[in-house]
Amino acid sequence: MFKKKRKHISEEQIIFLAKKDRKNFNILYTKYYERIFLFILRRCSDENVAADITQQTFVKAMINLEKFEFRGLPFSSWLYRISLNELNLFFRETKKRRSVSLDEKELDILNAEQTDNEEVKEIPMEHLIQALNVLSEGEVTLLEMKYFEKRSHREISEILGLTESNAKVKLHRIIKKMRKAMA
Amino acid sequence: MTEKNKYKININPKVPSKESIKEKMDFNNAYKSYTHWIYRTPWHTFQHYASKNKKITMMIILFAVIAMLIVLDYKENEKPENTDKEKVILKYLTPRLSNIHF
Repeated sequence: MFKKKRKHISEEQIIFLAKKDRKNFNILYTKYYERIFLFILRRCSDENVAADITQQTFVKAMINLEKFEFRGLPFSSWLYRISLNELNLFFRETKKRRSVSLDEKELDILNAEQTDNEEVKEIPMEHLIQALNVLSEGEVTLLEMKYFEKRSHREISEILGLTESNAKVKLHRIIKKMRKAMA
Repeated sequence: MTEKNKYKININPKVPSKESIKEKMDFNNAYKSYTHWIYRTPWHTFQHYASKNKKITMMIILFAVIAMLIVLDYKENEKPENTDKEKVILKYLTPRLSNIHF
């Protein structure tokens, strides 16, 4: 059996092709739409709204593709940033409350961070929700990315346009703030 | 909004299947929106992508231009009033109806 040799095209080349002809953007679209959709769904908890915002994110990405410069960072970070802006716009216009999706399985790491004392293993969900109310939207976004979506500091800093050390410091402060709220 | 319900909390949210996401998403629709004329007009780009500072500056310029046009129009319509000397001359030159005898 002969296998067809597939020519590997790098992301940079795909972006270059998409800049020339937006129809080539289809490759990037099929690669990322699912991730972006789930990223938005976690924050708005409505599938139809999430689909609309995802679509809008890709339209914006196509419009502003000329402005995108490839600096070695993944293209997805840029898309996540656009989707966050679109989400903020949506919540501002509709005056709806922002959603926070909590998966009980994902809370272990956050619980470990919250409790210095090894004897206390789990924090009741109610306390955690109360502590979340103390945080601003930006802080919640940072917390979600780190503990619920398990992103690395580097990825978070790329999405939010921060330095890696700044993201770490901010997260540390958020944990401190939550501990204070729960005490 | 009270501090208690600042965020809507979803515990263990359902994750939709890949198929259902695929059904909702379509590149052709996004491409259609991208090529739609409304996204191509300068007004749209200004309305959606210009910074707040730029918008405020444009508003100030617009108001200044309108104000200038109003002032110019007002000045054009304003007729210069006759001076006292001219008034006296006009008074004697204009024929009085009472003096005309037929």
